[in-house]
Amino acid sequence: MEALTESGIRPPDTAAEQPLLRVRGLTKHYQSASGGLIVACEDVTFDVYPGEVLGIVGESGSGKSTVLQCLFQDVMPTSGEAYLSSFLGGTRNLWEADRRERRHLRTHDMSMVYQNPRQGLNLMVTAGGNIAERLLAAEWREVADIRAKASDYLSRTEVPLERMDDFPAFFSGGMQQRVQIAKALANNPALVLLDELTTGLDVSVQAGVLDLVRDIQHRLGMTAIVVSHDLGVIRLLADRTLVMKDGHVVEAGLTDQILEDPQHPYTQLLVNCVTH
Amino acid sequence: MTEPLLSVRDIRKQITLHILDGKQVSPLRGVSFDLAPGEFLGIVGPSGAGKSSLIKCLNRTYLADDGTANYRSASGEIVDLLHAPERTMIRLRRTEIHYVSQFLKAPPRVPVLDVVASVIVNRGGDPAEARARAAETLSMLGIGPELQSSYPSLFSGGEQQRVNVARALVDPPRLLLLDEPTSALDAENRARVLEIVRRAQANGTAMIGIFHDIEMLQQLADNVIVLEDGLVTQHGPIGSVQIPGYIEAGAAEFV
Repeated sequence: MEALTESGIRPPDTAAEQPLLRVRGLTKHYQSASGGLIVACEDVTFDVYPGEVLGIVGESGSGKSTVLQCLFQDVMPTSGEAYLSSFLGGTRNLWEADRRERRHLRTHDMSMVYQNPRQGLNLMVTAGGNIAERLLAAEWREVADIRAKASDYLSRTEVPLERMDDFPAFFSGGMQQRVQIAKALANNPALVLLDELTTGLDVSVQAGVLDLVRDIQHRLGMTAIVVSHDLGVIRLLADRTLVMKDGHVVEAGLTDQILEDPQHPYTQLLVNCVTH
Repeated sequence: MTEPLLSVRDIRKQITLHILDGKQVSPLRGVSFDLAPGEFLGIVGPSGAGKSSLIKCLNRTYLADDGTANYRSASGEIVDLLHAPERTMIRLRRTEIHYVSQFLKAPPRVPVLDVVASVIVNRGGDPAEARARAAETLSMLGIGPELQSSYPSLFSGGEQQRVNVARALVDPPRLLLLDEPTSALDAENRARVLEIVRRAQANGTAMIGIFHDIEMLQQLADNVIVLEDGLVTQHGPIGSVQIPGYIEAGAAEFV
């Protein structure tokens, strides 16, 4: 590339595009009960650009969920840096933020959709109330606005409005997941983290949830990181993909390249294990 | 001579199959050519010669091991398609380079009309106008209104192939990469594809196309490359190249 520049040809114009999220050297170690070192993730580095969906694929224990948990401040990393351009002008390492700033990060800048809706929802607060909680945390004050927003997002995520005042504890798994997605998107966060959002759902319900996310992605242009063990989910949602194995990123590329020309032995195995 | 639109130099591609004890295959062993703006370059060669690998390397669906493919974009920048940042490739694929694979890859549960219209919408076009143009393009390819609201997964192979072509040509790109876009089509539908491809040609779209059908090749290609065992063995105007005997003598005998 340098030779091109020397010969007077302009290098590709990518300088205009700045990443929304930059993660550098994210490492999380745990101590096992016997005192040994467990590497959850090691030296994970990547960027996420505005409007794109980044996929992270890997088997259970590969560290992919740890990356999201660290970003969402559920877990603090052993080392690493991350900068979100919407958060304090992108100047503060997310893992050096103080308590108040971390709360702001979780309520305003990012949201997480967990595999288990129990983690993302309060099941004994109504569906509408769950969304209201999120909006109140993001400093919405007008009850009428909150109610309108809640019904807007529940209808976008195809939760029947007559269920708005019911408890999600009595909803099906698919509907709980849709309420969780509505809650995560309601205050329009800069970055949405989606952790195995279809795992454990029936195939037809999975399809509905995936179509919903795709639709939102197209209409609202959300920026997201999608973590899944399922290459089908990654193929459908992600522009670019990281492959993780034993806590390390072993391969990164355009999603179609990862699927059609996998380089790493593990990715080749993964691609050849797809049954459909 | 005009500046080439695409200048390919010494593309090499090796695939290491770790799941087969590290077996190595070398689909491309040093391929070079230039493509002028608006040129149609046909690629012929036996199965396994590296034709699809070449097109996939240019689309970055495959990672080349060596070489360059300098593409002159609409804004005048020179982009090496083999090494440009992924985000640059995503932008070029959205706006000016389109790859038509042998088989349709469309998202599930999306009506055909929206599959085709999404190309224009993703380029920032108006959704209503995009759907109108998608309907027109699909109809031109023999996929009428009664089929346009169904899912492509329910379509026959030939219909899926035409959806693929419709998606490529609903808003003709600057560079179109075609991998056997008519292999499953009968004579009537080949003629439809021929017509719509010609329109795009007249519109200035440059194309690199793999064809097993010599009639299509003779009607469309300005120049032809013969690819054998990962190497270019002939390259020249369609009339001057000895088309090897393994290329089908035409569709007529099959219909």
